[in-house]
Amino acid sequence: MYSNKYTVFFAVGVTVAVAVTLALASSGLRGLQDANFARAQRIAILQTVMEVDVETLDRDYDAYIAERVLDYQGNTVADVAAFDLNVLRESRKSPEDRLFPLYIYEGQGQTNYIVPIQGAGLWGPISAYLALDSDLTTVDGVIFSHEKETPGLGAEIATAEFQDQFNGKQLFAGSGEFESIRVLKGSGNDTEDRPHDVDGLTGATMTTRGVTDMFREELSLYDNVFQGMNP
Amino acid sequence: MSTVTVEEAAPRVVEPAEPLLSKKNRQLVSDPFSDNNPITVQVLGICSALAITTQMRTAFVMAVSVIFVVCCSNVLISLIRGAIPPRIRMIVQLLVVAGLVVFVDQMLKAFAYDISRQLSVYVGLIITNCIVMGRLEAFAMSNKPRAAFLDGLGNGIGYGFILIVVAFFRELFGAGSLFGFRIVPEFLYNMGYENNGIMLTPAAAMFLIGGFIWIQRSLRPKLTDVS
Repeated sequence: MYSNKYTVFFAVGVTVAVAVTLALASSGLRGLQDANFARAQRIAILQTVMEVDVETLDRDYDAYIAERVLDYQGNTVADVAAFDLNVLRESRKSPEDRLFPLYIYEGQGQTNYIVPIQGAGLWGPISAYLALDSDLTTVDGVIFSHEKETPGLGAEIATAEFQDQFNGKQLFAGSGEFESIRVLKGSGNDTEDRPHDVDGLTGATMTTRGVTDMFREELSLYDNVFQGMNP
Repeated sequence: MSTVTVEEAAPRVVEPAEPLLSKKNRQLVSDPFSDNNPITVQVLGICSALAITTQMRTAFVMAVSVIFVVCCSNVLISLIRGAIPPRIRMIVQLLVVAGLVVFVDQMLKAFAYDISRQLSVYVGLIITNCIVMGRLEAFAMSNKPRAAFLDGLGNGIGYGFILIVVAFFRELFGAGSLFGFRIVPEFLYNMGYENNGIMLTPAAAMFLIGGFIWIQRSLRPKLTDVS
């Protein structure tokens, strides 16, 4: 029979050994993981407007994308790099203190404004890169990503099928009023002539509600930014 | 289908007489491959087998991850089996398994980022994969490290093999490709062939695994008494 003292020491010993090993692994691999993450972001930004070839990714990104950082009034902030901003942290600040990254795509005779937006799904954060046409109301493409939405249900927001529905939808009504884009409840809704609605996902009501909220909250802020922006 | 059953029915194709491997050790590796397969006989680890077998690539990475975790955890637990106080043995096992799984997750994020995103929650769920804990309790706690390693290897491979076979059928018929390479030629699509959408849903994996279990048990009548 083992004494209580031994049991406690053993438990502590094993825990410390595992913790130290994991801490070492984590800090040793951090550089590679961050590089992978940054690369995935670049792919997502480009994917909103074009087919991405991973071979030529860096060249394409440098050639087509210009980065800018704006404040809430739409003034350009010069000393911050858009790509280095922690968008999640920024999204928790009050609008006046927040910085708004903007990626401008120019190529093939078109200009797109790509904005990163942040929201909450059912289980964790969700985010998206949204490409707007130069009229700043028509959606040209959107790429969602999520951390832990349910596979097969909420995770379906990151599929091409769901994302493609947003193409051509409008953020503003004809009168110029901000309308945002809603994801409807359930799937099989007819959204043909409804420029502010997209069809939802059965079994993913909470996640798609998060998408709707994310669009409304984040894009109303970006609307203010765009109004003060010099093109 | 027939090729699979032949492979499953003739399991003892281990390299002839490597001196280090006794007959008993060989059985440790080969038994879980067929007569004691974790998925089709013990019916463990079904959850992940349904979820990540739409593509060969993810199935392969998942298989390698599980093999790594089962082998390492078996060896580690077997090494310290004499020192583990029985009262907290499950917690110690869980801690070691969880540590290994987080390690695998970190490695995937660093070296196979796309795949780690596709596997998403399922890497974390290796912790709760019954195969891992099951082998620790049933085998590693009462056997020497080398035997425990072989047992882990056998069970890991037995699990991975089924995963890959299921993924083979699902990717071939569901997406017309294997490992992401297009297999079904274009002219077949032009003639009206279509990918089978149900193959991409977890239900298809259920049918396939059910089919394997049925075939395996009808070929090996002694298995029908197991469960």
